[in-house]
Amino acid sequence: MTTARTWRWREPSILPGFGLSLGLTLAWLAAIVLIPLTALVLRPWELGVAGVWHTLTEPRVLASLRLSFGASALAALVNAPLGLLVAWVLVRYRFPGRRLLDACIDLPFALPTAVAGIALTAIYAPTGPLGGLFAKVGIKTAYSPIGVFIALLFIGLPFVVRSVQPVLQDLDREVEEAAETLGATNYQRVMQVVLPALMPALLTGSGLAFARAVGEYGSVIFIAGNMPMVSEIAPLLIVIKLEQYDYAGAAAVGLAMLGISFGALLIVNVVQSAIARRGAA
Amino acid sequence: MSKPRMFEAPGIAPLLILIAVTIMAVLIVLPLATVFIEASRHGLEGFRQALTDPDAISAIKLTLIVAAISVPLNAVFGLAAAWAITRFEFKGKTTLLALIDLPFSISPVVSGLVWVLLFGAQGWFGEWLADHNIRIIFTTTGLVLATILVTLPFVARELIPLMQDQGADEEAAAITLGAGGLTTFFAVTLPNVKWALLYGVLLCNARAMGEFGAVSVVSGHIRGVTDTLPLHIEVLYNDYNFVGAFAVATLLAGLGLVTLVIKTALEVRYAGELRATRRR
Amino acid sequence: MSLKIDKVAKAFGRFPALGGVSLDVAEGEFLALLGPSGSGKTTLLRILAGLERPDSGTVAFQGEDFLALSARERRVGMVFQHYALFRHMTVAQNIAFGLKVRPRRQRPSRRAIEARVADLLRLVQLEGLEKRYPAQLSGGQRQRVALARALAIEPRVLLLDEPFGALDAKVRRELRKWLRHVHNETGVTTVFVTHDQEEALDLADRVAILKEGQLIQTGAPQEVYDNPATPFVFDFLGEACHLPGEVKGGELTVEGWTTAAPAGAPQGPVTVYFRPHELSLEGPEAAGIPAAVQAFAPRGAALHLTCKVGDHDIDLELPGAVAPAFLSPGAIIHLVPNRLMAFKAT
Repeated sequence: MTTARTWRWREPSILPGFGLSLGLTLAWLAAIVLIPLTALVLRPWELGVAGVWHTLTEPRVLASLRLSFGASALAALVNAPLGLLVAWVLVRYRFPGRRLLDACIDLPFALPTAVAGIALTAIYAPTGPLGGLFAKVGIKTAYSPIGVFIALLFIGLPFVVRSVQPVLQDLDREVEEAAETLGATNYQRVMQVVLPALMPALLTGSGLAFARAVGEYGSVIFIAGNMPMVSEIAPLLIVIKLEQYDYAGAAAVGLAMLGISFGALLIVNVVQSAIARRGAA
Repeated sequence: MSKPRMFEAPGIAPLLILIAVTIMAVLIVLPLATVFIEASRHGLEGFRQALTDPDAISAIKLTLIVAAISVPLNAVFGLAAAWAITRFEFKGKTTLLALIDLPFSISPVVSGLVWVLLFGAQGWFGEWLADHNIRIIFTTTGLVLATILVTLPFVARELIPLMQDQGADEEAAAITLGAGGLTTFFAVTLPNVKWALLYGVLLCNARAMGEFGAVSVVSGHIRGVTDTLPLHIEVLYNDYNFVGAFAVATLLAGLGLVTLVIKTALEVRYAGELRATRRR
Repeated sequence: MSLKIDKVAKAFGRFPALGGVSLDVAEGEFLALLGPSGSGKTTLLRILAGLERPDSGTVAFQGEDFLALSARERRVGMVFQHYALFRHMTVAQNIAFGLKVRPRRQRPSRRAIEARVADLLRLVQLEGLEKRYPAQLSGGQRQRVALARALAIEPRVLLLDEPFGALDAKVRRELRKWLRHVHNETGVTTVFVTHDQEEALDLADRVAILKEGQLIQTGAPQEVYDNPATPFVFDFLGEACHLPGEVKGGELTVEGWTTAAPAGAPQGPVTVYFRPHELSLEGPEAAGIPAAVQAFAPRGAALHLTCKVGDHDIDLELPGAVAPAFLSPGAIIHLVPNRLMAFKAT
């Protein structure tokens, strides 16, 4: 007689404290994450589906979503080669100050967003060192969508660098030597052997940078200018709607932003696992 | 660690290094330098004035209080979550891990919004709170809640991969030798993760003190009462008191730098005891 | 003479990896570079590939100064110990790589490349696996792809760096046979690095033994095995037993037993070497090296015997698992080596 294996949701263990630790974890998560998020997910619908659609397609909201989405995508795109270059230099070359440069990468992580926000504004305002230069050429860097782009560039760069760095570091030297002995030029070796190996990490880094940029507030709000229809970012719309006690509308915009971020992360994950399945040697 | 390449066109390396350094200098280092430069526009006196202003002092106090509550709570959470996830086998771990990482993917403003949706005047519990004369939004409690949500993953993210890597063998040995659960935890587990714990707490604290977007939503922006340091910066800035704003910003930038220094020191010194991707 | 290596030396910092090695490799020859780790064999191979530059010495390939060419220009096929396959490319793409990166003028047409890849897959017995990725192959299959990839560029020399080191014993033996077959088919000059003497003796036309950066001996496998130039070579190429002895005139004395001294033996105090399976056991009354039996037991197809000769412990391994009748613990027997060598005692 065969005994079917009873479905167990957990394996027994000799270590104690499972109930306590898991209970604590779940309780905390529920109170801090799940319940508040549920409120976010449910609240917009008190306007009805039509109402939500109406809110999201308001010209001002649409403009802000376009700006947040567009500037974030552009910044992530530009950060990809920049971050790759910086990671390359950090991993492949030895030079005085390399360690210092390496530590500087984390600066946007460590600096509070408001601090970054006012500092960036000071630099790129017409009265600032770089803003002045650009103003001479007729480009308005602060108080405009360009300012938003620059701020998002600042906060996104570390994501790309830190994603690419470990992969580049662990790259098997022998593979590059093989390419060399097979007759590849330096250019061919980098383009056909090294870069493809870095693609997944580059994608991940860019995806993370994008997801973070979409929701960024503190670094951007000072340099943006916040003019309706022109330089308002989506998070600002949420704040404005809250001030008008339009909770449902604010929640709708918040939900939309969440959706965009999640979509990006999901795509990153899918691409990552597709690549991992193919070449996890 | 890869050795420097032998076969590369001469001259490429210095050029790339120069470009990379320039990018970093302009994009990343310049903002930091700006903080200090702008703060010192009115000299040491202006700096001192900005920081000894009563509102500034309240802001400092409030920031410290919020951090002092949020960080330990999230540290305990991190330990509990790491223990549950890495020492036991059960279904649903992936979902749990995704949930823990969730606050990282949420915009800070949304992290504040959700609390208003729950406890604000028109929130789910809005009426109930009003009837009982309890105020959460626009008070310190709201600030703490928003900060806890934003900084939730930090400690857990450092502990989980490390404890996963380390495995449960030592704890199992302790149990077979007769130690109880708590003893095992304090005598075996904790010492093994102490540096990762410190690292996570460090990052958690830096974020807690520097958080802006989330607290901005739940705060009443009432000077001297519900303004943390980052919010106070905004207040000063909107008042066109730029020097003041940058002076306060210097404090936070200093905090950021100290965090960076300690973080790097930990990474260099205790590489083996932090999670794998942190080792340099 | 295909490859002429002349007094090549290389040091890494203060560590002298290679100390003036000179070696010739004939066209189409299969040469094994054999030695323990640290002997410099891999360094020498990498110098041949162009992945390291020697501090001094020259390498000439068919008269041409090889060292003047970069790794890329040398057209050597290199097979690495850990395969170094391009994991984001399919098997076919890996093999075709060396052909695809050629400058336009020298590049074969797409169809020619495809045909060559197909030929090579047939040669390495991996037909049907063109579209697989390295991650989907076994270790043995990966190594064969690596070899096909190296052969695709029609290398002047094929260099293999302990290619079977990462594989388990059975796969290793199979691949050995197969590598020899491939060499016979293609006839390309091959230099093969290994620390496994069995592998070297099995595969190579000629063996070059290195120790601590110096070339100790070269020769055909059997010749080197039968006539090792130094105790190190004797010991490295197989199991060895050694005892002190003395040569006077044409006679060798070991522990009181006298026999004719082997040809070329130095006079005076010597260390005598013999293989633990190249001797016969004689009883208590016979002539031979006296030994006190300590333990013996049959193991598989051999008889293992430990005995004491004077102060020395000797482990013997005799073919045939049947113990002679006079064998018992504590008994005195006599050993008569079939073949021995005498080296000057140090």
